[in-house]
Amino acid sequence: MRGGLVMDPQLLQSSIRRSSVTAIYSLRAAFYTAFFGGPFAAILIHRRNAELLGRLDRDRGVHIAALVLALAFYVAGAYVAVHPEVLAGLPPELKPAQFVRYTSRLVALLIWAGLYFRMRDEYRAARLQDAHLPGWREGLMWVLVGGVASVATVMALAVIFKAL
Amino acid sequence: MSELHGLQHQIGRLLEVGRPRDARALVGKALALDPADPDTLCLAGRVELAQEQRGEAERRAHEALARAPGHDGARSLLFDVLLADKRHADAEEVVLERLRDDPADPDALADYAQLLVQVFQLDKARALVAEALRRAPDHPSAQVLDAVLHVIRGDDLAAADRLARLVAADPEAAHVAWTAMLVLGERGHHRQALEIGRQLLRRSPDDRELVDAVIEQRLASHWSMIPLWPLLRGGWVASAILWAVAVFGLILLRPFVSELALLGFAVLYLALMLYSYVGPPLLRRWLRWRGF
Repeated sequence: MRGGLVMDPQLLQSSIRRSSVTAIYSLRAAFYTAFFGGPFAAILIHRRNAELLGRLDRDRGVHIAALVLALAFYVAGAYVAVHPEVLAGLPPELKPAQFVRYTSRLVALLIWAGLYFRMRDEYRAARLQDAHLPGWREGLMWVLVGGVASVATVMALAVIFKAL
Repeated sequence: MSELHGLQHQIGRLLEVGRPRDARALVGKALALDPADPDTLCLAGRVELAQEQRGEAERRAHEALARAPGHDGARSLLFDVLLADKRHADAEEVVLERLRDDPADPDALADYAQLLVQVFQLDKARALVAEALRRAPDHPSAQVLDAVLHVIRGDDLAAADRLARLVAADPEAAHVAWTAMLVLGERGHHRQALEIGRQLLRRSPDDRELVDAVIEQRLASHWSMIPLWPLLRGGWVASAILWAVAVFGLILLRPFVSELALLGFAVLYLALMLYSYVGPPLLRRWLRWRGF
């Protein structure tokens, strides 16, 4: 080789498939999905981007951690639903259901932000190249799926707490 | 210099300064002198590619390769056509063929890195750019890609450093100006980025991508966007933080401040959010209509 320099031979191996993606769902789409869909929806859209980028295995641990955080929130939310006296310290104008809704959104945005930082380079590359998939239909689907899953999870947990 | 070589030189210069229409007229003359010359065929292909005639450009590339297998210019042209067509797997085949013949070719290494950025294989792209710069530290495309990859990583200082080296080497080059606009824009220096963009636009007024980029810099530096500066600078993370601060700030402040103050705070937040949705798109339309 020229100059006696040794290059990693892996660099000259083919790595692009016909199915290699050139666009992902934008950070904006992920933000709105998380904001309106809740913690599960936030995980779903980031997970879909990770799938498109072929890094599901690499990010499995982070997705599981996000799921654990989401479930921890839902457990707390179900407990509050069964024992609303836990939030007795709130101002009288702020109802417990309202507080739980805001906190749900906060948790969803924390998950969104955490998963964004995990794939920050890819999101930036997509923004610089304007390489975004149209996201409103899929985003709406994840908002619905995430919302339904959230409600179902909280209701199931509330039933368990009532039975205990 | 023969007449053919003279024409080829002129065509190359016209392409460099962004005048493909003028170059096309000379291509006809060059092809009349020797329709089978691979260099002329490649230049004809470059003119067609510059005018978005990718099918014809690809045909020229294949014709040149049929006459001179392994012709570097033809393979480079074919790569550029496939890249423009987003046929990434095919483009990879072409560039790997070039690298099999010469693994140390910095042009091919930089081209491969550029391709990999488009398919989000960023780590491999970084390694290839590093390799290209090891072999040719002043290689323009590799340096530009290096700056872009630093911007992608969020390493603004390294991107600015790379930009400074590019400017020192060739301050007049269009690729340097493009990179400067990108790096300065990402670092929040929108006025400087705008000035550079305007200079580029004088040279290439029909470049739609450039027009869009300059409009974005004009928008970001417009006085009416000052209230939105944290959101423009911090992006969606700033939006999320602002929401959390507004909502939970209102909840926490409720026992300590009057209802009127809380109402004012809430109205201010809602107004800012509404403005962030409506303001930039309206300003963008206005700038397109009025000019910038």
